Amino acid sequence: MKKLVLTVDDSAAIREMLAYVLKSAGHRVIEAEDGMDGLQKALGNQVDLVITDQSMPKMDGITLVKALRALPQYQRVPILLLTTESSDSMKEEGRSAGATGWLVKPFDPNKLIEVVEKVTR
Amino acid sequence: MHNRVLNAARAHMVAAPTREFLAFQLGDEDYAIDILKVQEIRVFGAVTKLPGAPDYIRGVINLRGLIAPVIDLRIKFGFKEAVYGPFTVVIVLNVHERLVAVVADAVVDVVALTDDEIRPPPEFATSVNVEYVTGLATKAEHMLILLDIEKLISSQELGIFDVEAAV
Amino acid sequence: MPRTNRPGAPAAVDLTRFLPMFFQETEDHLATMEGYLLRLDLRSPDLEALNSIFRAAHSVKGNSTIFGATRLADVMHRIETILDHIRKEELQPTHNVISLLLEACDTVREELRCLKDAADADPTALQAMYERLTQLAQSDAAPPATLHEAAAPATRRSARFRIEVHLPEGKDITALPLAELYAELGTLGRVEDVQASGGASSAPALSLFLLTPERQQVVRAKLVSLLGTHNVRVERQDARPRPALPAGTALPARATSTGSAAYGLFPQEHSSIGPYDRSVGSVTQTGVLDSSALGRRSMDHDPSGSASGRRATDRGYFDRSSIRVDVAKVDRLLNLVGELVIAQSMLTEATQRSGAGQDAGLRDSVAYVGRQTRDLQEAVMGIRLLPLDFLFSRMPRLVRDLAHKLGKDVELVMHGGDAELDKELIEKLGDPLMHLVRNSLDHGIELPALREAAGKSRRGSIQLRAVHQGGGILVEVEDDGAGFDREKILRKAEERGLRVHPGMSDEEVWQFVFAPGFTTAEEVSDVSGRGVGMDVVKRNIGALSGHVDVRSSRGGGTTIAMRLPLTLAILDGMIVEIGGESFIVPLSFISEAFLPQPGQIKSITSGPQVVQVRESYVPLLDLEPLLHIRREAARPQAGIAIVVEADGRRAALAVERLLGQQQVVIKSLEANYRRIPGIAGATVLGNGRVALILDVNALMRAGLAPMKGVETLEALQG
Repeated sequence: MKKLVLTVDDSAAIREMLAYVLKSAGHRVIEAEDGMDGLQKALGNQVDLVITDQSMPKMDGITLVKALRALPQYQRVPILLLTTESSDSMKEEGRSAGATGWLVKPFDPNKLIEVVEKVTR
Repeated sequence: MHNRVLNAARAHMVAAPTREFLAFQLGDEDYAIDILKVQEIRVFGAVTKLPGAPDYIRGVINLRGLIAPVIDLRIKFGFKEAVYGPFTVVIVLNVHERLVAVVADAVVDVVALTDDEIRPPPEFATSVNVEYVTGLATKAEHMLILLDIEKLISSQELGIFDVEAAV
Repeated sequence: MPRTNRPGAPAAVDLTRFLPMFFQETEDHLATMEGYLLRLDLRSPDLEALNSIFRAAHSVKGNSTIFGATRLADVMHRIETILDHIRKEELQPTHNVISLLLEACDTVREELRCLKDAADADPTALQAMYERLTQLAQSDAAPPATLHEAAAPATRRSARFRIEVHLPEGKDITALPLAELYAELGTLGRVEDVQASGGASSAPALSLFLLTPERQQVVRAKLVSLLGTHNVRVERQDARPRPALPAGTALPARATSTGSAAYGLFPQEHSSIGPYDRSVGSVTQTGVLDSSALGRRSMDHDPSGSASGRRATDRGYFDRSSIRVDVAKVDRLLNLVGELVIAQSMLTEATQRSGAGQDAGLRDSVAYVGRQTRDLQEAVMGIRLLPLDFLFSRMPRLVRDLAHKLGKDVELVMHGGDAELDKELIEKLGDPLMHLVRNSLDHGIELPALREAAGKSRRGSIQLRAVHQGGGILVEVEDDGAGFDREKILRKAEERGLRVHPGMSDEEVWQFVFAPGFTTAEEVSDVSGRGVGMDVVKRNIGALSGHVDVRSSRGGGTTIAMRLPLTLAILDGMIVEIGGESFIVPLSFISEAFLPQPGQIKSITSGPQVVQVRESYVPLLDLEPLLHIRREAARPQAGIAIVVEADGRRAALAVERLLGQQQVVIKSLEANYRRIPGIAGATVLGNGRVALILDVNALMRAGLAPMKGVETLEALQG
């Protein structure tokens, strides 16, 4: 089913890659280049899934997760954190901030689609 | 009208084993040049004079936003007169990625010539310096003088292109 | 994007299509790092600056890993470690440390260039850098230094504030103007650690941390104006905050965790996976803003500080947001618009000629099209405008390295970097500007000991200034160094056979430095070269239709002023008639135009005529001989005199008539023909005909040549 995905990453290359894969699978994509931009876009759209990087200017990923979870309308929307290595401390922070899960980059396109489907059923 | 002729000629080009030439009139003589060098043909119109230019460079014109010089070979090669009448045209050439317009008294036709129809350049002097003449041909009772127009246009003698122009 | 019906993902992502983006981004990140490194206050480094450098390095590391540039990633990892040590105050950021980091950026840049051009990189360079960085990263050498507090609030360090938002009874978080609140916070600084309360009345509805260089009063004032006095609490955290690592940027231990799963889901306490809760958004009664309306507003109003923050200040400039567009596309757009302007002129003229101009409706429509076309042209030209910061940003590095090399102490101050110029002009201004700064460093600013002996401060200063002035832009390089030595220059000029006379004004003497090959430097240093510089600078600026001026005083310093048009593509010109032909005189040269009365024109022996302009007499140039215009009819007696100024000299051009003033699109003569002395270019007028643009500089030089009679342009040219 077609979903609206918000991708938040300060790297245009990563955003492009995510968009490319998500769109080929039929989803719609909104992009944001940092946490603050992501939050504004989330406030302005009814997003089905948020995929966010961690390290970004203005507001990092973990803070974005917290800010989103503070909003009633985003209490249950799935949020995935993009990580470069499987760092245990980062995963723990993500979990306690309220993220739904994590995704390693570089991502395998099939795995990306798989997890998107899993969390947005 | 002229451009339709050109386009028709180009359409034939694909399969033809002959080469095609644009034949035009300068004074009393007929010349022919490789049609692939010809971009378009226009009616001779107002020209903006260039300060200090030799008299055979009449000036410049506006070709859809590009400024191109207008050359009158009749003056350069000392023809007895250079008339600007109702049939006077300029042939716009594309030579070495530059646009240059050459004045002609009239356009005659587009002519297809096979190699054996072309005879070597003459011994005797023609109006145009013989080093620019690549051969002679006869078609429909006209004698055509084949010009290497690219060599002529880019020659030092004409001095249109200034190699050190890029300052 | 291709629409596809297959529900699956592409088999694999071909990364090469994203490579150009990777290269560009990495370049940007390196520039960001360099910028912050150069401005870092070594005594008390700003935490936010360090974080920005860290983030940039982190991004490069991440991308490098993805694209397989593992050696680059390793180098960036080392840089991260070093920065982390500095953040934690375990390592003192000395001049040498910063130099090493800057050098590392250079090495990475070089490596990137090789990757991009598929050239063979020198593997030893990267390896050597890696080793040096490793050495620094692992050294316990530097004891935790006592970093002094910044002396005064002059250096704006970032501080941490805890912000609490309370709500009146009965209201919940949806009553808050969240989009505006976050937007405001975004302009102030960086937001961390947001928390909402469940709803216990004593706890704040929302609490978060803000890292900002702004003062507490400012933060509070902004939030109060948005939320109301009683609802906001702003509390400063400890004076020297422990640099809390932004979550997740802890240097991860390499792959110690549970296998290489591509993704993972956290165990969910209650089914927290669900859709966007629409019901929340649309409850409106009690003054709650409809979130969808809110959203629309927040999308139109770009909160990321583009209105307020995009100046050449720390944050605004280095974290720039933009779209990348191929220059060729912009140029094509520009050409099309240029043609449209000409076509529109032709339309206007044709309308007038045909008498259809009587039709008011038609006239109005044509005028309307004209206005729209001009607006369009201005907007499109604006796309090509870039701020001078593109050039200015290179300077700190240059000054730092060169001053160090020369053993001089120099401070660089830059103003007006946000002034904008056409891209082409910016690119061509780069070399001259660099040369002038090098000159100031090399020949201008004296060694500290010499300065002290002369009663000056040991630290010299170089100022770069840019300001819009009269339809163009003025860029100045000023130093407070030794200034020009008049005697030395005069001597050198005489040696080279240039004409000197004792009564020459300083301004005239300074002009000699622009002569080809001129130099008074005793040793030709390899830094600014053989005095080729000033001559080339002047020619380069001239080629951009600009002028260069010099002001200097012995012991006081030197200022080089460059005046430039905003763009090379169009110019404002006056259309004049000379010898029956139309020509364009660029307005930037014109100071006035008038109809001289017979008594105002005088002849002097062995020279050109002069015309009276108020109290002084100015040479009157007859352009017809200069432009080889032969006329058949007699020249009308009354002509117009156009007073022009260039290179500090004035002259009056004699023309027959003024035909009007117009903004014209500049076309090249050299594209299909050659350069003509005295002519700067061509344009197409509204009647479709070509008009030549006069090269005022050349005409003046020819007309005012200090010899008997009038030199021809060609002779001077050769």
